[in-house]
Amino acid sequence: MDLHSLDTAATALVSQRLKMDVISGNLANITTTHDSAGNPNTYRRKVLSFKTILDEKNNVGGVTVNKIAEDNGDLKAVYEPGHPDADEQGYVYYPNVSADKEMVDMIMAKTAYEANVKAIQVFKGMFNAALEI
Amino acid sequence: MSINPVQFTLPAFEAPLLKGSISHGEKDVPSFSSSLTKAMNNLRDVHNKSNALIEEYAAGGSIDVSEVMVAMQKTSMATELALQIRNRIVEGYQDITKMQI
Repeated sequence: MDLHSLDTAATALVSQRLKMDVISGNLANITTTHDSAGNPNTYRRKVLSFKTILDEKNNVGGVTVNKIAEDNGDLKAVYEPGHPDADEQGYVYYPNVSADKEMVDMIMAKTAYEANVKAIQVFKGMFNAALEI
Repeated sequence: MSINPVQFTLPAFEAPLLKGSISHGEKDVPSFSSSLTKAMNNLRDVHNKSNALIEEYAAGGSIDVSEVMVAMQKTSMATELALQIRNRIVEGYQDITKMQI
């Protein structure tokens, strides 16, 4: 049975969920100054890129995550001399995560997810309409 | 005068319908019952797949809820299609049984 639209939309659902995971990770680590081993190493914002999955036979494609990379933008230097991670000048380097940017990304992930759910619903509607022939 | 006996065994409707394949022109077309069996096996596979996914999800497996829902939608669509096919077949059968001879 040909249910390619469902599979295609399903790949997008999984990818957008992953994007949401990355955003959650960024927001959770918005003030993280150490890595998982406990060494002083400020967290860097994670960004993910997608790539298409091409189904040669039908020439349509779903989507999957290409890679999750680090944003090499400048860290935020904040003057906090009393902070245990402050350098000699009293600056603490905080992650380059910006809450408003993450909010925008989150809205985009949410709308993309909703759009794909809608695509599934419409496909199901088309299928049910065909059954009424 | 002799009357030709009624031929109950119409060649086209005989054995090929129940087993094997009907030769249609040059190529062999699978018989109705073998296609139906195949379709039913596919339906069973779809059901098994979605059952396995539901069980895995319920057991706390690391699968996305969207995967489970899509599998369930597929199952529901395949079942509805099978149901419609069955309805059409029964309808056709009833039309034939009601036929005036």
